[in-house]
Formats: sequence, structure tokens, C-alpha cells
Amino acid sequence: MKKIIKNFDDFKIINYYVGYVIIGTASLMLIPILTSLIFKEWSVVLDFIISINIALTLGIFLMFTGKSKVDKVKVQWKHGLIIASSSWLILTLICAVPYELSGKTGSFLNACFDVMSGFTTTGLVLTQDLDHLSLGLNMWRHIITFVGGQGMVVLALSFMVNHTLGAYKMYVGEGKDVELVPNVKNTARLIWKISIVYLIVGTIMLWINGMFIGLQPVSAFFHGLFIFMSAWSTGGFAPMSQNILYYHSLSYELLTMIFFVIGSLNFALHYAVWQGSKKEIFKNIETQSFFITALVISFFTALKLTNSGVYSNGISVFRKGVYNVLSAHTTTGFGNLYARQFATEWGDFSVVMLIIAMLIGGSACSTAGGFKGLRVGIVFKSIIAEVKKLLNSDRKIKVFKFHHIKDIVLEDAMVKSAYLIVTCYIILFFIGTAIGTYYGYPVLSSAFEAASVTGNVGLSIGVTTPSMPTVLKVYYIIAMYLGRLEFISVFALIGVTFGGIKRLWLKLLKQ
Amino acid sequence: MVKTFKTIILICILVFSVSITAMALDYNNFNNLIENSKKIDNNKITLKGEAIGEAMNRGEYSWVNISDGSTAMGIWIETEQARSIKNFGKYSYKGDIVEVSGTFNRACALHGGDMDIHASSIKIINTGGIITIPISNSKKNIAIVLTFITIILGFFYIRFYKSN
Repeated sequence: MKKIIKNFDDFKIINYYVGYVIIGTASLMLIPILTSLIFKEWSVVLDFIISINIALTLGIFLMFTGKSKVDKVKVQWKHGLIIASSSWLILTLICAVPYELSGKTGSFLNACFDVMSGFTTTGLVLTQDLDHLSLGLNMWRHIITFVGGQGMVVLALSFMVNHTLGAYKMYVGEGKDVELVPNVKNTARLIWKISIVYLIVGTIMLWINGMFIGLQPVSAFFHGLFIFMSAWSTGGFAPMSQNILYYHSLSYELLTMIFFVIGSLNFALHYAVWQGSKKEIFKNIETQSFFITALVISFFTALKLTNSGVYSNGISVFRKGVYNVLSAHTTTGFGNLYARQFATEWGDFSVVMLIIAMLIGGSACSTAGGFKGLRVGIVFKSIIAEVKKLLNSDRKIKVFKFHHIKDIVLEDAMVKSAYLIVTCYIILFFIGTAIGTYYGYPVLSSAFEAASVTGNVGLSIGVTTPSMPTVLKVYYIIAMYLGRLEFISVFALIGVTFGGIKRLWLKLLKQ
Repeated sequence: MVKTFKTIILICILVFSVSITAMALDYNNFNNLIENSKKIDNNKITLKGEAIGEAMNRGEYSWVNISDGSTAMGIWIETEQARSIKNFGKYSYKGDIVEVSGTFNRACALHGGDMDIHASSIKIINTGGIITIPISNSKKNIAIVLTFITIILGFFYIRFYKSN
């Protein structure tokens, strides 16, 4: 009996915090409501009023059920992981309501696909007729990707005044593990402070540039705001169906490139640079790893595209080749060519290069996805360490170190954890490729799209369309979710769910 | 004499129709352009679509993007000609349907490898304009009911919170 009551306590405490995260995120719907009111998009205003009320009702109800146990039950690791993973799932369903009510998605599954794509900063789109989408819904799409990049739990934590005892466990559950300052609440606030400062500067830069390339001032502002939110969060959404190609502008592409590269860097690195430690950029294992892999992949892709005559001059190779490689590597997914051009023009080698770039991804504790530069660096260091150990005598004990904000000793547990996560990503990628080929897509196209969803990138070779098989849509949603939360918290949720079902079955069988 | 005239007219019709076919292929589905880009590269084509977003003025020339409903394509066009497009598609607006004739570039060397069309002429086929988006009564009612429920629930939660 005591155990059952304790299980209920677990549920109550999880409910309370999930409700809190839902209310925090749903409150952001006030921004598209305000936007739609200003631009007289009355039908959209109603869509968002319905959606925000559903979210607030559910959030308040969940907080009601758990209120009595807050500060009485200690938040454990399992709670933190489940709060993060279940918040993401519930929010995906709730935030898809305005999409569905807009009538632009075709089905609720497509709406959920787009929301998960936004939250996980993937950037794949199933919403149709983007070019006629309301400003309100466009605002919502980009807010989703901006908030998803920093994390909804991070957002909720930064507003939390009381009950912050288990905050660190929830924070880790969302795939972040770096504490910039000793307190998690302040770390969350700092992450938001960094992002908001960049948002203001970046939007102004893109706004001015937008007017120079011929956009009207109001339109240039919204394009600048949306594109910055997407670039910084390495999301890949854009207000127009042509994505970055719509602007036909080198300067706009250069600015986005700078923003998504900065956005893919670790928040701890941003903080260190803000604190005056500029050398950290060159010393950090993640930036070293990123610049080496980005340079090598860009070089070989550019070489192949030039030699095979796909592009006739250096500027074209840079704008199409290097831009898309960096967009893939930082897991942004901005594209300045049509999805099918990868398949029909680029050739197999360049596509393989993009797949590798997408799988490697950006930095840990950033808005980017993929294996992450830190893990790639650790894996390489561990290989070098193993080789060195073999070459040295048994009596000589050598300590291997790497630099990530501070000098860290390369420990076996760290290496094991890096290998484990990389292995999980590879398995997810192979399953995605296999399902794609099962439905008749070519192997390379399936692999490209699987790498894109696994690494939360958003580039497409043409597989992701509203007419693709439902199973593939569901798998892609799962892959984006697992990839963004880095497996562990989702595994905890699955474990608890199946454990609960198993216990229920056993109980029923005993009766 | 009449026979000679008939023959000349027939030849003229034949030559004219063949030359039109050879000059420009019609494209209403832009995906066909993308899929067959290598074959069509540097050819003269004609395509129809809705002008979307806005014209981006770059001096003597402007960029106009036109859409077939699912895919959009960039048109590099003289600014004077671009001014003939009055309506651009966006939320609650239908853009002008235009017919563009010009040269298709798979990877335009002038524009950093963009797939585009350098237009020589443009014709407005259908004029666009404002679309009225109806406000559903059922949506209105649901919104009112849900707002009411949220306010009551919020009120009870605050009371419950204060009492603890």
C-alpha cells in the first residue's frame, strides 16, 4: 500500500512540474495573438485563443494535482528526466493545435510533425502553402524553434521563484549539463540573457540588410526576426517555402551563416567569451573539432562540386556548397537550393559528405543536434590515448587531458558515455535508413533524410513531403525527439511507462 | 494565285507554330523544371505562376518569386516590368497570376548558382487581390467557453494556493 501511495507521489510531483512547463510555454502564445491582432488576422486570433486556453486549463489542472506534494517529495533523477521528456511530448500535442486549426497541415499528425520539428530545431516542414501563411502562425512556428533551441524546461526554470530544489535534474533531462553559474535557475536565466541579446542584435542586422536587398521595412523586420530565431536556434524554418533561396542574396546568406555558426556553439563557450576569455574559442576541444571537420568536409564537397562541373565559379561553389555543408554541420537546415537538387545534381559523394556533417552536428549544450563536437573530440582523443598507451611501456602511467572551458582528465566513464550516445545515434540513423528503403526510397535518399532527422538538421532530399508514408512520419517524429533529448530521458519515460503497464498486468493477473 | 496564297499561309502557320514550340516550352509544374534541370538548362521557357511575397528591387532589375502552388521559383526581371505586378500572394491576398518567358538557368553564374529564370517578357494572366477569410462561429463559441473555463480554474487554483 505504501508503495502505491509513493508511486502516486511520483506522479503528483511530475504532474506539478509538467503543468508548470506547459503554462510557461503556452504563455508564449500571447505573442502570436498580439501579432495577429495588430495585423487584423481575426481567424488566427481565435485559433490561438482556443489553443492557449486548452494549454492553460491542462497546465493548471496538472499543477492542482501535484501542488500538495511540492517541497514534500524530493525531486529525484527519474523525476527530472520524466518531467523533461513528458513535457516535450504533451507540448508537441498542445502546440500543434493552432497549426491544425489553421487548416494548412492536412492532418493533426502533420501538425505534430512540424511542432516536433520546431521544438527539436530540426526544421523539416509538412505545413502546406507556407507562402500564404498568416503572420501569427509564422510567428508561432519561429517562437517554437527559438524556445526549443534553448529548451522549454530552461524557459520554465528561468521564471521559477520557488520549488527549485530539483531544477538541475530537470535541466539535465532536457539534454543540457553545463552549469554556467553555480545555481541552475541563474544558469537558465543566463542562457536566455545570451539568446535575447543576440536576438536583438541579429534581428536589427538582418532587418537593415533586408531593406538593402529590396524588402519593405515592415516585411524586412519580420523576415529578419524569423530568420534570426531560426538561425540562432539552428532550426532551419523560414517564412517562405523557398527557405533562404527566396532572398537571392549573398549578404543575407553570409549573415545567416555567421548566426547559425555562433548558435551552434556551446553556451558555456559563449559565457567564457563574454567573461573575457577569448582564447577559449581556439583552445576548446569542441571548436577545434568543429573547425577541423567543417573545413575537411567543406573542402572535399567544394572540390567535388567544382570538378564535376555542378557550379561554374568559386562564388557559386561557396554559396551553394560551403553554405549547405555548414548549414548541415551546425544542424541548422537552411537551404538555398531545392531539396531535389541534392539528388539530381550534387552526386553521391557530396551527399555522403553532407550525411557525415549532419551526423556529427554542433556543440553540446548548444541549440545544435547530432553526435556533438565534444563527443567526437573525446572519441578521437580516446583513440589517440589508446594508441599511445600501446606504444608506451606498461610501467609508464600517462594521464590524458582535453580542454573544454577548463582542463579535464580523459576518464573511462566519460569515454564510455560518449561512445554510448554516438552508438545510439548511429542505431537511430540506420533504422531510419532501413525504413526509408522499405518504403521504396533510394538508399542514399533514405540515409540523407534519416541523418537529417537524427541530427535535428532539417535539410531534405525530397523524402519529407505531406504524402510520405505515415509510419515514416511517426518514425521521424520519434527520431527527432530522441535525437534532441539525447536518449536518456526518453528511455527513462519508456522504462517507467512499460514498468507501470507490467505492474498493472501482474496485479490484474493476481486478481 | 489563290493556291499560292493558301500555300504561303499554310507554310506561315506551320513555321510560326513550330518556332513557338521550339522557342519556349510551357511549364506549369515547377518540379518538372527542377527534376529536368540539366536538360532544360539555358533554354527558353514559359512558365505560369502566382507572384508571392514581394518584388525585391535591386536597381535596374528586381527579383520576383512565383509559385505553382507548391514550389516557387525566382525570376530576374527588369524593374519596370516587375512594376506591372500589382498583387503579391500572402495571407489573405492572392497574387497576380503571371506568365513569364525567359531563359532557365540550372545554376546561374551571375547569381551565385541560384536556379532561376532571366525573364524577357511578363504577362498578367489573372489579377489577384484580397481574399476574405471567414470567421467561424463555432470557433468563436469554443473560444468563449474555453476562456471561461480557464478563468474559473485559474481563480480556484489561486485560492487553493493562497489557502496552503
